[in-house]
Amino acid sequence: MTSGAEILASVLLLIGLAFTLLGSVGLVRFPDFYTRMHAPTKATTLGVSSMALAAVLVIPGGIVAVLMKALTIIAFLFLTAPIGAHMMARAARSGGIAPCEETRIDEMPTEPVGEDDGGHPAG
Amino acid sequence: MLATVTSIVMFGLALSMALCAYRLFRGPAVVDRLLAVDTISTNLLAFLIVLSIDQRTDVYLDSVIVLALLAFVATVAIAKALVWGRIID
Amino acid sequence: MRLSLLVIPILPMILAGLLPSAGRLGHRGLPLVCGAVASVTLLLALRVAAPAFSGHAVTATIPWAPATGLNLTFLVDGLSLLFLLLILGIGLLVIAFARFYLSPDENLPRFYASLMLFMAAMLGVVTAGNLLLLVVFWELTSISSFLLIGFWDRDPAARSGAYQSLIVTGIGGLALLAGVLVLGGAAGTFDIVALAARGAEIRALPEMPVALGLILVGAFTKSAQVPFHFWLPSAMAAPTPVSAYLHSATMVKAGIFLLARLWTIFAATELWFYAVTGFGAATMLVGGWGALRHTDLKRLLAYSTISQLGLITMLYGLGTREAALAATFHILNHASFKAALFMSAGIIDHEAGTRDFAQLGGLRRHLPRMTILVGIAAASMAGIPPLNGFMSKELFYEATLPAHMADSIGASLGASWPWLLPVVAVLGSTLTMAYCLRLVIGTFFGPEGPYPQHPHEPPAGMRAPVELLATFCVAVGFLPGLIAEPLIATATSAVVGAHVHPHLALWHGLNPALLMTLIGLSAGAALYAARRGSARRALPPRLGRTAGELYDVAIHGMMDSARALTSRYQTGRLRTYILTILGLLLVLAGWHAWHASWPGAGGAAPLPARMPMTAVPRGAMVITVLTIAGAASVCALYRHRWPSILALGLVGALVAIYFAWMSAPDLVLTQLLVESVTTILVVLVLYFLPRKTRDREPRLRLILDGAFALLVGVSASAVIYAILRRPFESISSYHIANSLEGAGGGNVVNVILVDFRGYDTLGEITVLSIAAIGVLALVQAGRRTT
Repeated sequence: MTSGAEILASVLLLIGLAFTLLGSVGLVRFPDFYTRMHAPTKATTLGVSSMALAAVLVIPGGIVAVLMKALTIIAFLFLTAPIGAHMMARAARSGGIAPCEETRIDEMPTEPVGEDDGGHPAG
Repeated sequence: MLATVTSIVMFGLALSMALCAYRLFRGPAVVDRLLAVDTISTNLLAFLIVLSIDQRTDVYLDSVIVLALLAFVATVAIAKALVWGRIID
Repeated sequence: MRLSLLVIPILPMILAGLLPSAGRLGHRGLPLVCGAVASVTLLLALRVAAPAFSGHAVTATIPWAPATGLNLTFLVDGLSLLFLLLILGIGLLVIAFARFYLSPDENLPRFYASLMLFMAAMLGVVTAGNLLLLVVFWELTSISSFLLIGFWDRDPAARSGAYQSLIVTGIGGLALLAGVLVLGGAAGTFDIVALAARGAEIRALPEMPVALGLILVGAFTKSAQVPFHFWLPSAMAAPTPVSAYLHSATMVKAGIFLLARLWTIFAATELWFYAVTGFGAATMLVGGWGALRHTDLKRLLAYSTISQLGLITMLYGLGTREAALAATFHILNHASFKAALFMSAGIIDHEAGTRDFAQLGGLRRHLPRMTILVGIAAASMAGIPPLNGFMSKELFYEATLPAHMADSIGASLGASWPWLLPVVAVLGSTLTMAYCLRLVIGTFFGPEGPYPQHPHEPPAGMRAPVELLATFCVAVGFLPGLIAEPLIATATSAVVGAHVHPHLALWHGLNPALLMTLIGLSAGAALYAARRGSARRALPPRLGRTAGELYDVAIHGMMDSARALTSRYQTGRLRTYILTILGLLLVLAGWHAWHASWPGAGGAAPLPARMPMTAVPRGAMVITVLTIAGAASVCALYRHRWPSILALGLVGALVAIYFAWMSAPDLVLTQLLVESVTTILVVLVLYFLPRKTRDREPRLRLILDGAFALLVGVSASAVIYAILRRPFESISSYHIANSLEGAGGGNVVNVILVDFRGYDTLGEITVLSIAAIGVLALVQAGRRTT
């Protein structure tokens, strides 16, 4: 017999999977890098968070321990995802990757920041 | 029922990883590949969480915390290296 | 059982541990604290060891590892007592001398800490009642001596002198350990008192020559006997207080102490007689000759120390009670006049700015008091009455006479060549007299050399230790019965194992010994006068290579050949390394495959019933495998760097899933950690690599590399497959079953770390320590350059 916690956990897992798959599909399908960056961040934050919450519901053992670990994971991800995205965007910009034609707002100053001495961003 | 769901979710996550891997092959710029790797790490993270749900144990959650931190550090390191070439000033 | 015996070596050791952080005591406070602790130790030692004065030995034992025979056994008998007084007494004088000699801006906490560590180690050597414990303290003296010799570490001569001493005494220590193990293993115990009681039985053991030979090597290296004597002159690069303490009075006497300790066991054997006497006599002559060759004051004293040590060794080798008495007495006397001479050399160096005879001379006009003091000490060394050195020289001569050799092993030698030993003795004394004259006249008399500094009398505090020692020489000379006789009596009794009642006096009547003294003194004076003209120049070098040169050749040869060998296979190219390592693995796997039975061969054997795997859906695994394969091919085939690096990191992270599949969560953690860190490191290093790699590699090489990679991959898979096919039993049941009874611990994980896998943990600790030392060195180097 499945309990309420298990049902709730299953729902959360499926939600998380949906977000993750959407993120990956977006990563494949979007036209340029800057748009592509938007997709996985949803997967990272929402997808993993819901799965972590599902874990809290189902895993036995001290609920506080599991809860602490899950909250730590979620907190780290929420903290680090924006920073990572920012650094990648900066790297792309200074590497001269142009946004696609549909872009309307470009907030980056015209000269890229930082010298490019040693890296080959263009692969 | 939870067991079935976890199987489905694990399969789905593997599929998601494969899609990101496509971006790894194709991405015209290095940052695309970097993004792909970062995403695959996150998916791996989710995979481990689901595995621990399936096994009803919390041992893999430690690895998840480590992976979250270190993947971030690696991403930032590579991004910095792309911009400046040096990652330690 | 007096457990307070342990205080004797432990107290200075504790102080040594505390001193490095006590820098704010300053150059006045530090020696004060050291002197206080040394005095306290001395008083405690005297109190605890009081019974030893009347001939009863005091012991204390704490069982440590009884199964291997190592116990913390401490023993204080007459011999230990003599050495205790020497170590602590001269130690106090050296501390007082160092207070004035060293300038306040030296690294004084480090100096005094090393000095106290040495003191503790030396005290441990002389009070150890268990041979293994003695070896431990022995090595500790080598290490602290290394620290002290290399104290002025900016000076390359100090560094090489320290290395030389460490290598030579270290090899000796190894030989000593081997000899002790052989002896203890054959005799069944390492306890010195027990061994001494079974002397005859031990002498009859078949392993006795091997054990004795190895132990003698150890003793000879420490006491600078030929051919191991060359480290002592190089050790003169140390600060003078160190030379006065270690290399005249205490550390070099450790080997002789060992000889005295084992005297009751081995002295009645032929090997002992011929080896110890022979090497001792040779050392005496070589040292004496060497002292005449050099122009540096400290080097002359170093060679004279070698010669005097050879004399004492020779006496212990003779194996008679008279000889043992002479040797023990001379230990005391030698310490007193040699320490005084070294400190005087330091004073002369300090005042006149040089130690070279070419620039010294005529100092008696500027340092009249020093002239008298050095004169007394040198006269004692040469054996001139009425000083203590004269008395022990007389005993030395008497011991070599055939009449006294009658009841020793060497009686046959004494019968067939009765004149050999006395002639050797007189020869040694001739050389001694000659270099003593050289020392005194060359420094204080004659025309005034060009002094780098204008000399004036040293401060009273610096001169006081020398005055004390010189007074001691004179006092013992006039009142030996009062001052020296009780101590020497009990010490010699401890050495020979029977009560000895010596009668030390200045005048023993007209006897052959007195005649030999006169011959020796006059011959020495004649020798000096004959070479007077070249007193300021060194002798022409002897023919053939000295042992020191052989050492240099050996060390450099070893380093050069190691370098040549290493540069053959450490080419600096990654391809070579990978080919070598993986190729070897391939060979090993192939050899095993040839000889092993394949579980899957000849029909499909079923998978073992219980595989240690987690349930992961097959589909997920298949997709993961394909992803990994894809990423790996990206890594291998793409020609640019960044995709390869990223793909490589990815493969590593995905392999973690495999570990999760195999139910190994700790490996998952490790794999993720290592993969991320490695990726970051690669990116870090990328900065230093050239931008473009070689454009094209030869096609043949690519094909060969590909074939090799394929072979390695297939073998790895085959091995893993074979392992998985075996019946799987966990080793944890064994561990759980044996943890409590076998290893004595309740926590199985701890027991695994410490006991079942103890060597593994030892290796890890070693690696971590090496890494920590490397980091420390790098940080300090960085701090020095900025």
